[in-house]
Amino acid sequence: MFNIQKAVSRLNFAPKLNEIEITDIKTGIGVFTPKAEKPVSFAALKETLKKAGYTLASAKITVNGKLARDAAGWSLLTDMSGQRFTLAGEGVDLALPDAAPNAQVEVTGDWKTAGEGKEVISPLPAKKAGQSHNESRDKPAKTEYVDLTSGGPLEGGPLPVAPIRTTSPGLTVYRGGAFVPRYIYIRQQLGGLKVDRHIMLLDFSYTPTPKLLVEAEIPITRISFKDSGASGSSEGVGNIIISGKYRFFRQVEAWGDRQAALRFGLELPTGKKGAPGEQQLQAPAFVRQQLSPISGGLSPHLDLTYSQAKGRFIFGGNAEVVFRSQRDGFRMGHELRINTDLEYVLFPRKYDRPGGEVFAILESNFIRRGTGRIAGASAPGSSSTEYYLAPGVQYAMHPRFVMEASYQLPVARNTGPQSLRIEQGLLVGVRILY
Amino acid sequence: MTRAAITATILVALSSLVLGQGEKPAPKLELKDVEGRALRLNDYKGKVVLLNFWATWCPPCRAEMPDLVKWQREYKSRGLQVIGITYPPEELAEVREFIKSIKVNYPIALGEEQTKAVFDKGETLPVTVVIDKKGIIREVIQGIIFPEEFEQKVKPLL
Repeated sequence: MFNIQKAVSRLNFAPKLNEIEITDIKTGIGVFTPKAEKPVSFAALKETLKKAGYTLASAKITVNGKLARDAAGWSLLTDMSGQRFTLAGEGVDLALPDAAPNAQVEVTGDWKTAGEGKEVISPLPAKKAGQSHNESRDKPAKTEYVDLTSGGPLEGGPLPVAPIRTTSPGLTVYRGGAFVPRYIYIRQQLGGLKVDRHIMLLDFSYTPTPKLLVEAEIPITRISFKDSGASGSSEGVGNIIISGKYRFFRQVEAWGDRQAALRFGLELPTGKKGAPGEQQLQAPAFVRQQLSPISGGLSPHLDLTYSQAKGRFIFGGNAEVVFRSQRDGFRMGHELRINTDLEYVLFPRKYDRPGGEVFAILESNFIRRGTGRIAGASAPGSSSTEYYLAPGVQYAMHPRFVMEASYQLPVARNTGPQSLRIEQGLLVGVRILY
Repeated sequence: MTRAAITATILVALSSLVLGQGEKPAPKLELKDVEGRALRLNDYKGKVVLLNFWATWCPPCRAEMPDLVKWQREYKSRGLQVIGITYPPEELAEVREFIKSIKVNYPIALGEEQTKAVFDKGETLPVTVVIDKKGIIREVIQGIIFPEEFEQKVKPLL
């Protein structure tokens, strides 16, 4: 983004380079306050960005000045630079419902140059200058511009990308940090035993470079069970997973982003291991131990992910293996997971800036789990093969704030007599990037 | 990816020149050009060299290259020598195709990440290193080099 800042700072009305703020690295949204005494020009802004290899998609400007009216309509005259902005478009009457010549107003709107020295604003609803906050009358303009063909990966994330979804298989690597709290509800069953798991999964990630992401996942779990009169519950922290993801491949096209990443994670034996005793629940030890928040001890996770955008569709897939070690003689079986993720950008129909996207999602999960161990010995009947579908929706309210929800249901299951079966699952979460 | 075929050797040596305070000699740099021929920075001593780090996937890099071509043409007789050095990941075929399409009139060498790191450890591209006729690094210009920068920082050295 340095090139964008450098290009804009060449303009005689632009502030110093470090006062030009890039508010969205991914798509090149920038904001700056022009010098009050200099007239501004959209055409010049567009030209300097073009000279630096960028295409200016749009610009908004906020101008404070005096209203004037002539035969051609309304215009706005700034105090310090004396520049006149023509107000045009369908929004003028709405924006200036009780306009009067010489009234001091603040107008925000789409900005264009419509000829030599003629700057035009298509306004959004205006504020009277007296009501405006932290905008001085002597600061005539504030501009926000959107560049949709920003630089290469070295500059922190390029381009006219499709709005890639940000969850599992989860390939998007930003620069900066993310906090993703998720609530997950899982209903499990085995014979008459019914188990409800409520998991609050706190995910913290940081991307020091556009290719690398480091992450920590902290699950906080409450488990309750019921079985012919017996019941109980427990809560506690599960095993924390720390991981690093390296994006080794990325090919960028407009709405055709392709990328692949490799993740290595380590599940740490931090979780609470207590399980109901035999007096509390008449069930085999391996079944009872599954009612704790952990699946075993120190366990490496290895994950290979690929995603591809094509127009409004985004496809992702990943294969993950988990090698589990025992903790106090218990572990679930080693796991192979193959997940796919198909997304469709429902809204907006016309994509001109990031934010406000709604995605329809369909995920599938294949899980093959081997035989587990209890008391250091093999637990026959604990292996399983399961396949789930999870339709969902995601709303990227802002490029840095995303909400999501999905519902998981079983399609096919072949589980051993000691393995809890998932009946349904619900996920609700938000993603906050900073 | 043809990166495996691209070999680059960077030799950094202390200069025996007597330098003024803060003056940094350009390192000895040996690279291969797009035709596989050796390109040595040392061979351009006596010229004002613009070492331009660029990549085909970097829009600002592509945008500034026509200006570099123009300056090379206009100021060659006054001792200007532009040398382009690619930054990975690059496909050799893409590099060749691009430099042909804009009629690049200066040598293009194939670089590695470490080649740029010798001069600039930042993450910005393009980067242009200005080396004077005595082989001293006078400027490391981050980002696209605009005409006014060329006027201020390069022309006085010619």
